[in-house]
Amino acid sequence: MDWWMIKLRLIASIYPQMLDALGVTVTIAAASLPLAVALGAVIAMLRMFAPKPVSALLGGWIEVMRNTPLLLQMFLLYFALPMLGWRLDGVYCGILAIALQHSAFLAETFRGAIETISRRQWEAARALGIADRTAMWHLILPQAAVKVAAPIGNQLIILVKDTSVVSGIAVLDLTLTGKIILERNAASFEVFLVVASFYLALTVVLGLLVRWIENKTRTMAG
Amino acid sequence: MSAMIEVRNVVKSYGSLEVLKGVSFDVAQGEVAAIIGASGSGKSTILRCINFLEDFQGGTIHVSGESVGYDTQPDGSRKHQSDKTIARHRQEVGMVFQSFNLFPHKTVVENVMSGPVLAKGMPKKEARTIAEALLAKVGLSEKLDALPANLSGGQQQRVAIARALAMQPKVMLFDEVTSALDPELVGEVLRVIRDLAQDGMTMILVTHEMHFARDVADQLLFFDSGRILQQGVPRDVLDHPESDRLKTFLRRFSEANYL
Repeated sequence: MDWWMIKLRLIASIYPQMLDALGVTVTIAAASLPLAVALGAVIAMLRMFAPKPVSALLGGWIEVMRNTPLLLQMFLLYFALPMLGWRLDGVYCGILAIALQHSAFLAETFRGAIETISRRQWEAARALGIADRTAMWHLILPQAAVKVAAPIGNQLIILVKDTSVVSGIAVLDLTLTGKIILERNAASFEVFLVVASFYLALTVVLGLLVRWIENKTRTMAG
Repeated sequence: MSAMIEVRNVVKSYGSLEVLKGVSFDVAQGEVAAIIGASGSGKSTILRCINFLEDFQGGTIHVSGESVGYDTQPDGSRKHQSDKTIARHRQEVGMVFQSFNLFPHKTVVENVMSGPVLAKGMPKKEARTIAEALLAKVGLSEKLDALPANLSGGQQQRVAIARALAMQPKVMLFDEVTSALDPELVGEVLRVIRDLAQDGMTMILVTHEMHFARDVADQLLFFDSGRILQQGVPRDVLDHPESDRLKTFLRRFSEANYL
């Protein structure tokens, strides 16, 4: 009984600190998420429609971004950029690194979905005399959007959890705050549980949001 | 009076594979031409060339007096037309595919409206009026708000025909439009095409329906290995095949019909 009371009191006492940390994590996620989606969409379009050299270059970029660790990419931004005389705050480094890596994954997801739309759909549009650009917006993308909703939802949940890398460059997000509390209180699993519950709450809310958008696109796409 | 469709010495190859080896024919205004031939004979390819879904390396195609895909320069060389010119040309040529190719996320009436709205920028209300009239014509007034996936193949193909007609084309091209249909659904599609022929639409049908071709077509072309081996009035071509290739082709067909 006493033991439980002590644990609960500890958990209650760390909540204010954790709420601050939640603000940091949410800020990083909320900034990098739309950035990643927008950048991913641009890269996907350029990859498909830009002249060969540009497209090939972006292909290489995507491979590099997808195949090296996020933590490492963030370290590069945080420690190497200042040598070029460009100093970025840790929060911005985190946002940028996360947005860059996830945009590479998202670009491939977007491209994949668009390319699964049959060549025959393009031909049907062309045969009617519809310009390719118009066909893309009105006929191809709405079909691709439905296919892409679920994998993107997945990706965005990974993105939220990936924000924890900023703990590696001294940004007081949920993970680092949890770690510090842990060290100061000689507590262990209960702090991790609290940290995990915050992430869980975030991703569940995001999941619901994605589900809602998914249903919306489905009805809009007919 | 020049022909509505004029095809002259068209040559088309994919790399070293020549699929059209100098094809020429005319289709007059209001005339129905049927093309028969084995698969790989080039019969679908020529249709696709006529609305420039395929480019071609030699020869010319004119529809309603206008050159398709290329302009001939004063020095005799060919110049690829702009996307805009090609799109405008395609608006005058309706095409119906074997696999329907309806837009799956749009309702029946939206599919038929898509050409006028997206290619011509017509207001939706006006396009809807046209679409509803055409869907009535192909017997699908009850299915306006259905999605393609909920229609039978025959119904989908009739929607596809209405969709092409909504652009008010001068010419209609039908690429084996009944080949993907269950036998009992073929009739309803052929009936629509027959009505169009009676309305005086200029058409080319690539088809395996010999009886229909004999019945409806004014002109029959037999394609073999990228060439036209015989052409003429359907009755003459079908009853008096001049080449062994056509004889063999027709025999296979009558055998298939007995099975």
